Amino acid sequence: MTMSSMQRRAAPPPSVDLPPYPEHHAASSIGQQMATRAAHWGATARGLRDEIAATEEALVAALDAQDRREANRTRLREALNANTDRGLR
Amino acid sequence: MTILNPHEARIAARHLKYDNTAEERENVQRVDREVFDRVAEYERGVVASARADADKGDRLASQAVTAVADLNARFRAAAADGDVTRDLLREFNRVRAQAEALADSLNVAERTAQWHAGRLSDVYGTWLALVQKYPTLKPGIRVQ
Repeated sequence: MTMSSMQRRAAPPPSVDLPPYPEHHAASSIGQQMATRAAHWGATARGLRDEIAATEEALVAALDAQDRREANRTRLREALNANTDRGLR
Repeated sequence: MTILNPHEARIAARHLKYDNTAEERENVQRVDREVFDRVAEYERGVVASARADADKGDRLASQAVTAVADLNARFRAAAADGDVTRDLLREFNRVRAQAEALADSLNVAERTAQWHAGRLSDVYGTWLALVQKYPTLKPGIRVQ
Protein backbone atom coordinates (compact mmCIF):
# COMPACT_ATOMS: atom_id res chain seq x y z
CA MET A 1 0.00 0.00 0.00
CA THR A 2 1.44 3.36 -0.98
CA MET A 3 1.42 6.39 1.27
CA SER A 4 -1.01 8.22 -0.96
CA SER A 5 -3.51 5.34 -0.99
CA MET A 6 -3.25 5.15 2.82
CA GLN A 7 -4.00 8.85 2.99
CA ARG A 8 -6.95 8.37 0.64
CA ARG A 9 -8.36 5.57 2.83
CA ALA A 10 -7.90 7.46 6.12
CA ALA A 11 -11.34 8.25 7.48
CA PRO A 12 -12.00 11.95 8.00
CA PRO A 13 -12.54 13.01 11.62
CA PRO A 14 -16.21 12.89 12.59
CA SER A 15 -17.72 16.28 12.13
CA VAL A 16 -20.59 17.39 14.30
CA ASP A 17 -22.67 20.44 13.66
CA LEU A 18 -22.49 22.18 17.03
CA PRO A 19 -24.73 25.14 17.77
CA PRO A 20 -22.56 28.24 18.22
CA TYR A 21 -22.14 30.03 21.52
CA PRO A 22 -24.95 32.61 21.65
CA GLU A 23 -23.26 35.93 21.05
CA HIS A 24 -24.08 38.63 23.57
CA HIS A 25 -24.65 42.09 22.19
CA ALA A 26 -22.81 43.84 25.04
CA ALA A 27 -19.65 41.79 24.49
CA SER A 28 -19.50 42.25 20.70
CA SER A 29 -20.34 45.94 21.05
CA ILE A 30 -17.54 46.47 23.59
CA GLY A 31 -15.22 44.45 21.37
CA GLN A 32 -15.89 46.85 18.49
CA GLN A 33 -15.50 49.85 20.80
CA MET A 34 -12.14 48.54 21.98
CA ALA A 35 -10.94 48.15 18.37
CA THR A 36 -12.01 51.74 17.65
CA ARG A 37 -10.39 52.99 20.86
CA ALA A 38 -7.16 51.13 20.07
CA ALA A 39 -6.91 52.98 16.75
CA HIS A 40 -7.76 56.31 18.40
CA TRP A 41 -5.24 55.87 21.23
CA GLY A 42 -2.53 54.83 18.78
CA ALA A 43 -3.19 57.94 16.69
CA THR A 44 -3.23 60.11 19.83
CA ALA A 45 0.15 58.71 20.94
CA ARG A 46 1.59 59.40 17.47
CA GLY A 47 0.13 62.92 17.53
CA LEU A 48 1.66 63.59 20.94
CA ARG A 49 5.09 62.34 19.82
CA ASP A 50 4.85 64.49 16.67
CA GLU A 51 3.97 67.49 18.82
CA ILE A 52 6.93 66.87 21.16
CA ALA A 53 9.28 66.68 18.15
CA ALA A 54 7.79 69.78 16.51
CA THR A 55 8.04 71.75 19.76
CA GLU A 56 11.66 70.71 20.21
CA GLU A 57 12.37 71.75 16.62
CA ALA A 58 10.69 75.13 17.16
CA LEU A 59 12.71 75.72 20.35
CA VAL A 60 15.99 74.81 18.62
CA ALA A 61 15.14 77.10 15.68
CA ALA A 62 14.27 79.90 18.10
CA LEU A 63 17.54 79.37 20.00
CA ASP A 64 19.49 79.48 16.72
CA ALA A 65 17.75 82.72 15.80
CA GLN A 66 18.48 84.15 19.24
CA ASP A 67 22.15 83.12 18.90
CA ARG A 68 22.34 84.78 15.47
CA ARG A 69 20.79 87.97 16.83
CA GLU A 70 23.23 87.93 19.76
CA ALA A 71 26.18 87.35 17.40
CA ASN A 72 25.01 90.26 15.21
CA ARG A 73 24.71 92.49 18.27
CA THR A 74 28.24 91.49 19.35
CA ARG A 75 29.65 92.22 15.87
CA LEU A 76 27.85 95.58 15.78
CA ARG A 77 29.11 96.45 19.26
CA GLU A 78 32.66 95.50 18.26
CA ALA A 79 32.39 97.57 15.06
CA LEU A 80 31.08 100.55 17.01
CA ASN A 81 33.87 100.21 19.54
CA ALA A 82 36.44 100.02 16.73
CA ASN A 83 35.03 103.17 15.12
CA THR A 84 35.02 104.95 18.44
CA ASP A 85 38.66 103.91 19.02
CA ARG A 86 39.69 105.21 15.55
CA GLY A 87 37.80 108.46 16.19
CA LEU A 88 39.58 108.96 19.48
CA ARG A 89 43.01 108.44 17.89
CA MET B 1 -17.85 10.06 32.10
CA THR B 2 -16.10 13.43 32.53
CA ILE B 3 -14.21 15.16 29.71
CA LEU B 4 -11.75 17.97 30.34
CA ASN B 5 -11.99 19.65 26.94
CA PRO B 6 -15.42 21.36 26.85
CA HIS B 7 -15.64 21.33 23.05
CA GLU B 8 -14.90 17.59 22.97
CA ALA B 9 -17.45 17.09 25.74
CA ARG B 10 -20.12 18.66 23.54
CA ILE B 11 -19.16 16.40 20.64
CA ALA B 12 -19.02 13.32 22.91
CA ALA B 13 -22.50 14.06 24.25
CA ARG B 14 -23.79 13.88 20.66
CA HIS B 15 -22.01 10.59 19.96
CA LEU B 16 -23.32 8.70 22.98
CA LYS B 17 -25.96 6.01 22.67
CA TYR B 18 -29.29 6.99 24.22
CA ASP B 19 -32.42 5.02 24.96
CA ASN B 20 -34.58 7.63 23.27
CA THR B 21 -34.39 10.99 21.54
CA ALA B 22 -35.83 12.89 24.50
CA GLU B 23 -33.00 11.66 26.72
CA GLU B 24 -30.48 12.54 24.02
CA ARG B 25 -31.87 16.05 23.53
CA GLU B 26 -31.95 16.66 27.28
CA ASN B 27 -28.36 15.52 27.82
CA VAL B 28 -26.97 17.36 24.79
CA GLN B 29 -28.71 20.57 25.93
CA ARG B 30 -27.44 20.12 29.48
CA VAL B 31 -23.82 19.74 28.33
CA ASP B 32 -24.13 22.72 25.94
CA ARG B 33 -25.67 24.82 28.71
CA GLU B 34 -22.93 23.87 31.15
CA VAL B 35 -20.24 24.83 28.63
CA PHE B 36 -22.03 28.05 27.61
CA ASP B 37 -22.49 29.04 31.28
CA ARG B 38 -18.75 28.78 31.77
CA VAL B 39 -18.06 30.76 28.60
CA ALA B 40 -20.56 33.41 29.76
CA GLU B 41 -18.78 33.67 33.12
CA TYR B 42 -15.48 34.17 31.30
CA GLU B 43 -17.15 36.68 28.97
CA ARG B 44 -18.42 38.74 31.92
CA GLY B 45 -14.87 38.90 33.26
CA VAL B 46 -13.47 39.96 29.88
CA VAL B 47 -16.15 42.65 29.47
CA ALA B 48 -15.51 44.04 32.97
CA SER B 49 -11.77 44.08 32.36
CA ALA B 50 -12.22 45.74 28.93
CA ARG B 51 -14.49 48.42 30.45
CA ALA B 52 -11.94 49.21 33.16
CA ASP B 53 -9.14 49.45 30.59
CA ALA B 54 -11.35 51.60 28.33
CA ASP B 55 -11.82 54.11 31.17
CA LYS B 56 -8.09 54.12 31.85
CA GLY B 57 -7.23 54.62 28.16
CA ASP B 58 -9.82 57.41 27.82
CA ARG B 59 -8.22 59.23 30.75
CA LEU B 60 -4.78 58.88 29.12
CA ALA B 61 -6.12 60.19 25.79
CA SER B 62 -7.64 63.16 27.58
CA GLN B 63 -4.30 63.86 29.33
CA ALA B 64 -2.59 63.70 25.93
CA VAL B 65 -4.92 66.40 24.55
CA THR B 66 -4.04 68.60 27.55
CA ALA B 67 -0.31 67.88 27.07
CA VAL B 68 -0.47 68.94 23.40
CA ALA B 69 -2.27 72.15 24.35
CA ASP B 70 0.35 72.79 27.06
CA LEU B 71 3.23 72.26 24.62
CA ASN B 72 1.61 74.71 22.23
CA ALA B 73 0.68 77.35 24.78
CA ARG B 74 3.93 77.48 26.72
CA PHE B 75 6.75 76.33 24.47
CA ARG B 76 5.68 76.83 20.86
CA ALA B 77 4.39 80.28 21.74
CA ALA B 78 7.68 81.22 23.47
CA ALA B 79 9.62 79.90 20.46
CA ALA B 80 7.46 81.97 18.09
CA ASP B 81 8.06 85.07 20.25
CA GLY B 82 11.82 84.38 20.28
CA ASP B 83 11.73 84.26 24.05
CA VAL B 84 13.53 81.00 24.87
CA THR B 85 15.25 81.12 28.24
CA ARG B 86 17.32 78.52 30.10
CA ASP B 87 14.50 78.09 32.62
CA LEU B 88 12.04 77.47 29.79
CA LEU B 89 14.34 74.79 28.30
CA ARG B 90 14.67 73.08 31.68
CA GLU B 91 10.89 73.11 32.01
CA PHE B 92 10.53 71.75 28.47
CA ASN B 93 12.82 68.81 29.32
CA ARG B 94 10.64 68.00 32.31
CA VAL B 95 7.39 68.28 30.33
CA ARG B 96 8.83 66.30 27.40
CA ALA B 97 9.77 63.38 29.71
CA GLN B 98 6.21 63.35 31.06
CA ALA B 99 4.69 63.58 27.57
CA GLU B 100 6.86 60.72 26.28
CA ALA B 101 5.84 58.56 29.25
CA LEU B 102 2.21 59.43 28.47
CA ALA B 103 2.65 58.42 24.81
CA ASP B 104 4.20 55.11 25.96
CA SER B 105 1.22 54.49 28.28
CA LEU B 106 -1.16 55.25 25.40
CA ASN B 107 0.61 52.65 23.24
CA VAL B 108 0.25 50.11 26.04
CA ALA B 109 -3.46 51.00 26.25
CA GLU B 110 -3.68 50.61 22.44
CA ARG B 111 -2.21 47.08 22.55
CA THR B 112 -4.42 46.14 25.51
CA ALA B 113 -7.51 47.36 23.66
CA GLN B 114 -6.53 45.33 20.58
CA TRP B 115 -6.12 42.27 22.81
CA HIS B 116 -9.57 42.81 24.36
CA ALA B 117 -11.11 43.34 20.91
CA GLY B 118 -9.60 40.05 19.72
CA ARG B 119 -10.88 38.16 22.76
CA LEU B 120 -14.35 39.67 22.47
CA SER B 121 -14.63 38.93 18.75
CA ASP B 122 -14.49 35.18 19.53
CA VAL B 123 -15.23 34.62 23.20
CA TYR B 124 -15.94 30.90 22.77
CA GLY B 125 -12.71 30.24 20.84
CA THR B 126 -10.61 32.32 23.24
CA TRP B 127 -12.10 30.56 26.24
CA LEU B 128 -11.49 27.13 24.67
CA ALA B 129 -7.86 28.04 23.97
CA LEU B 130 -7.47 29.19 27.57
CA VAL B 131 -8.96 26.01 29.00
CA GLN B 132 -6.84 23.86 26.71
CA LYS B 133 -3.72 25.74 27.77
CA TYR B 134 -4.57 25.60 31.47
CA PRO B 135 -6.82 22.55 31.92
CA THR B 136 -6.55 22.67 35.69
CA LEU B 137 -8.28 26.05 35.71
CA LYS B 138 -11.62 24.47 34.85
CA PRO B 139 -13.14 21.21 36.03
CA GLY B 140 -14.18 18.72 33.35
CA ILE B 141 -17.67 18.43 31.96
CA ARG B 142 -19.74 15.41 32.96
CA VAL B 143 -21.03 13.98 29.73
CA GLN B 144 -23.13 11.15 31.16
